[in-house]
Amino acid sequence: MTGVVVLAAGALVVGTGLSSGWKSGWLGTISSAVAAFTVMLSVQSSLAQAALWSLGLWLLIVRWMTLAPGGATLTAGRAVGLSTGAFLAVTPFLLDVGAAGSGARTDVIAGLLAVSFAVPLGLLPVGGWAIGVFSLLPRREVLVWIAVVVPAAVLSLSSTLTRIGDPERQVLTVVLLVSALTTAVWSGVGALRVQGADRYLRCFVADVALAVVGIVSATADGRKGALLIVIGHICLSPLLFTTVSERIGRYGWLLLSGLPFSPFWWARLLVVEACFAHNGFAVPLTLLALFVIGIASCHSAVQGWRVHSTTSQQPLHRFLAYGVVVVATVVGIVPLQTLHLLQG
Amino acid sequence: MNDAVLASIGFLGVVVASLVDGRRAVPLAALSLSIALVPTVVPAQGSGAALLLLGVAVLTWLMGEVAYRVARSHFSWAAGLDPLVPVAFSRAELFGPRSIRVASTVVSIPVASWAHFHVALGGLATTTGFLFPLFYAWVCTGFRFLTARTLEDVAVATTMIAVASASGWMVHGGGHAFIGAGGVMMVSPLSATIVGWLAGRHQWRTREDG
Repeated sequence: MTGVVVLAAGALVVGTGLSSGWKSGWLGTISSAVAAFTVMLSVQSSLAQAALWSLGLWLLIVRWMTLAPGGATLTAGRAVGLSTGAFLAVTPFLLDVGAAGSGARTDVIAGLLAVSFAVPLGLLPVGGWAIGVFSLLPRREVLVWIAVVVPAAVLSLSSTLTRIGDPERQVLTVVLLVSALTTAVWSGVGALRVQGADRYLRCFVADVALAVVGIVSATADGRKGALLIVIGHICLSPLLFTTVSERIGRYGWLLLSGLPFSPFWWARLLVVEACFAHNGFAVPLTLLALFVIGIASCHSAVQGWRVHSTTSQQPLHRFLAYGVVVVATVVGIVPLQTLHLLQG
Repeated sequence: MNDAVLASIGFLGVVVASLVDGRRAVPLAALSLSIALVPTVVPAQGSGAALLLLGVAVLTWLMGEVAYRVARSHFSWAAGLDPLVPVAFSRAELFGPRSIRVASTVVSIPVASWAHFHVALGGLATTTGFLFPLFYAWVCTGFRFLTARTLEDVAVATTMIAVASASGWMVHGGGHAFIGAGGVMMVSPLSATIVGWLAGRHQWRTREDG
């Protein structure tokens, strides 16, 4: 877990350096949120986890609402409020989750947990706020979601699934699987219709949905695939959001496309294997999502991507951008060793 | 205490918290919800639970006032989000925000009734009305989030969920129930501080506009 935190911090530093530089107030808020998420992943108490998760998300949401007051950020506030509220409300019930209870109790617990995780992960229908909000915000704010919030949510979901009882896990798995498959296909198809940063956001949401498919498959391969997806996006997000030059941006899209020996090749392969092993009916939709994400990424790689009217030619920026490409390539060449290094 | 009386006290407190508006909405919501949930938590945790709930409500009030006054005295005017102004909606609507919230408190009654009859918490029986205030607070908080139009609405809902969840934790009992509940309830003064601070920054402009 420490490795993932270090990687996320590095991605934030590089991404901020490549985009608009440091701003006053940014460092304090983001550091507090990152600290809250990091401690959340370390503690055992579900109440402490929920409280820290709420604190971190609220710091970010209040910041986003003050940066871009409007319908989209208000919707984000409502959605995150529901999510954190559901997480806080479910904590007393998690204390005796193994006890015998009615079917209604199981459904309520699983439903609250599903809402808790679907919102920050951008899963439909409750997570539909994400793309609208992040298209309004500065890039460095979006990097926080990609490099910190989503990895923390994926890791927390993974540990939560091991701590709840079988009946709750079964219901939660079905709800999240349906939601994740719908999101993966919807966002993947949506990625074909847009360009640039919007395309990357949709590809990211689709990939996160595939990571959830891997996590809920409850297999070692699925979990590894999900973590590789998360790590791959932590590595690549600074590059794909802040293209220093068109050529380096194309490398980023190639790595995202899932061509052999890129990080996403292994990640998506493991998720598909996990689907074959656990959820056979999910395989067609997973393959469809992979296909459209691959097409969208390859199209951007071939066409090139001009996000900024002026691209930076500063040597430091080029050095950082090539460093990101090298790190992502290394992850693709030695994926399991990277996982071992970062996760232990 | 009779279950019907307990449920009625809870109902009234939650309705007040759901409908309250304005600069002091967060502390008022914390206070009314704390008073509403005291009869529910005291049988499980004793008078210490009541002290915790009411103490944090008072702290919420103090923090909100201090933040408001400090911000008002330090800023002659500040641009940015006013927590009391609707973010994306106009006020000229047939059914205003409070009408929708009244409707939501009505809709929440059958939902909370169903939940407290079917969902057990700890070793408590679900056949009485003992847990009704707690479930009613949770459901009304969900609606308050869904109908939020201002940052202050969101902060009130956050306060409600913190107080309700802390009460749920205390009703369940178990090890570290007090510490956990106290930690979660700290969200309430934090919300009041944020809203008080942002409202204080805009006070000068409000006076000028008025």
